[in-house]
Amino acid sequence: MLMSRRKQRFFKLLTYAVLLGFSVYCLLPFLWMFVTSIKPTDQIRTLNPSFWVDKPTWKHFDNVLNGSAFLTFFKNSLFVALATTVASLIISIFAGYALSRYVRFKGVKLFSVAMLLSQMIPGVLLLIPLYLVMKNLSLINTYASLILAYTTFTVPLCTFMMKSFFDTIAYEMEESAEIDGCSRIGIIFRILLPVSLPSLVATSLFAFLNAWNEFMFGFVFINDEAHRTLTPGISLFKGLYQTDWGSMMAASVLSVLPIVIIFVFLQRFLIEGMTAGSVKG
Amino acid sequence: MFNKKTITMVLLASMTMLAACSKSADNTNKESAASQPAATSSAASGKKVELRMSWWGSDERHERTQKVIELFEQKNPGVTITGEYSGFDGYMDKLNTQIAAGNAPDLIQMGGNIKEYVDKKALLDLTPYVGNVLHVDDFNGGLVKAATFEDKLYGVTLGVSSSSLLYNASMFEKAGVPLPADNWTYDDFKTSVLQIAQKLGKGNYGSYDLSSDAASLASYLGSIGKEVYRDGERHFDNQDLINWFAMWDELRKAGAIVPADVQVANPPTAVDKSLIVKGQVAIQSASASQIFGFQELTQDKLGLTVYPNGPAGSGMVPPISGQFITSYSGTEHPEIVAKFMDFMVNDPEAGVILGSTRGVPPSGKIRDALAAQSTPVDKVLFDFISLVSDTAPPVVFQQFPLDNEYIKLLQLTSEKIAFGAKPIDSSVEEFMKEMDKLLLKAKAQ
Repeated sequence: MLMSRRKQRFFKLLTYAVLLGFSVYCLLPFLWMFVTSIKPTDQIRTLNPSFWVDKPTWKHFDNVLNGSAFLTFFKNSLFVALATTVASLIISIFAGYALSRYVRFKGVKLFSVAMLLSQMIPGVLLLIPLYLVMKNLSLINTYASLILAYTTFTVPLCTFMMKSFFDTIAYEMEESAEIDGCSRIGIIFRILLPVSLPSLVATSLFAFLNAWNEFMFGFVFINDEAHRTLTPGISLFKGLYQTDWGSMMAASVLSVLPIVIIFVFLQRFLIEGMTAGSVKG
Repeated sequence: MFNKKTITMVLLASMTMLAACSKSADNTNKESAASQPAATSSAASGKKVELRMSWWGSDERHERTQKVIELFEQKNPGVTITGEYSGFDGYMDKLNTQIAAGNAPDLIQMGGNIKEYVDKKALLDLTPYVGNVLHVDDFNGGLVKAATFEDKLYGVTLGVSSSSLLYNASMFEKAGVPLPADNWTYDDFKTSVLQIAQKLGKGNYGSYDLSSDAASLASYLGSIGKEVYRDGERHFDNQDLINWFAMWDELRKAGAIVPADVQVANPPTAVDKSLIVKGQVAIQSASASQIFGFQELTQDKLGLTVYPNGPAGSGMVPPISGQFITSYSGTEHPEIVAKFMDFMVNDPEAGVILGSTRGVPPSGKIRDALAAQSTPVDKVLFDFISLVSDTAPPVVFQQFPLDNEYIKLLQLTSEKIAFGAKPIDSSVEEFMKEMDKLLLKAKAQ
């Protein structure tokens, strides 16, 4: 496009101003969460809230790590989220491949639309049916109940993401592999997956995040301390009348940390993966 | 070819996964669905009983309740009770799910919405156990009535609370004003409040502006022989309300109560903002058990008293149950459940462990046991609850069905008048119109 330099500069500035606005909008809650977690209790709720902390304290972190079962919750969440990620990845790789390569069969298109439609059902509606299923399978209060439930939530979108990515890979690559004597499973693992690394990362992050953040099912399916995940665990700091905001925020900071670290390292893949899927999907 | 292979593989894999996850899938009875996977032995030795109990609350309540459970297990070998506790957020949602799935805990802590669950037929009728296993004859009759529907008892009160006037005794002393008597009147109230404000000077007030407080209004109406609500109708008229607001307006103009702008900035409901804690206001309305929180924040001595009397005597609302322990109608061991309920409210040892984590214990016996080792604040609270139990008129108080909306409406009306935005009579007229709309809405529900 033809534009004067001045105009160009103006648009650049505008872009950055808008982006800055958005990042403040996104970061402010996190900043406030962190600030609250290091405030002494008497400064947390005052008439003039401020970002400045007079005497920062790690007391709340100490309380969370040593005075509560936070580490158990963390371990449980990590296990459930990782298991969910692996399970949904395995299913969605095969399902995505089938949906992408076998369009010529009847019902395949219909199936993929149905899968997406299943995403439109609000999760809470599934609470009671799933609870009944888990109860009849004697899975209440086990990790398996959560892993199964979360996997069913993430599989449709994961499959769709994988399918979209496989669609972009030329079929000729597979043909040549087949000529060289590669089996079908070999094709998926040796040819397709290495090139779809970005999409794999994006898909697994999606699955992991979903499982990590889920509250309602973790709250309802799990009854005892030993199996409780992080999200209901954090809500334990909240009583009916009083809430231990400092500890709650400290626990929140600690539970956001792994996600932040993962994102920092995988961000590059994530962005590529997202665009790769969406453009040609 | 490959298609079929994958499908079989995936199917096989998922089946083995499921099988591995559910080792105990073969005992398909209700027990096996319970939280403890080790329930397998229950069938073998008929005497073993496994119960589940759910409640919400704070850390302290969790700890103390667990201790009481352990004590009960010691005294009743063969019984194990698994606690399922959480915060209040989501508690009811979880319970609804469990009830829908027929898998609710045997013992359930309930709040004021007990009737909703009685209507759903989710709660166990405890009447057969009253008198032999479960003893409630020591309780104030109103507390039993609160959990009785169609002559059947569905819950046992765990704790009592009551609305009250919380006062700063040190301010009364400083101003040389006698402490409120148990049978004081609205005239006494006005004189005390005026005197405190005058003697202590600028920035100090005799009382918060209670015209916006629903509990205060309820007891005022009671003291003139009226009522806020009964059986779908309101039982007061414009003039009653005009008198109410006029009384507070008079005090406001005399500088005896907290002006509107100060009250909004320092709401009495926020413990750490309340001016009573800072020694600037002598009286406010509060739930009696809140005195612990207030007393913690001040050196001044705090006290509790009843609302003033009117021409019809005391209008105090009788003490209310904060929480109940109820049982799921599908429980397999109703008798042991009833025994545990009785243990929670009547066993002195359990009573001492629980303390007032759920409000003041309903049984006078337990209150006495607690008073022996209690702090001065405990004693103030216990004495007050006993006082209210004795003086409150023997009516069964009916709560306004859309309570939250009614409270907001009253608050709004009071603020309009306090800020001088609208004269009293037109505000009251508007209030009545809105209130009648609320009544219609409640009827439609």
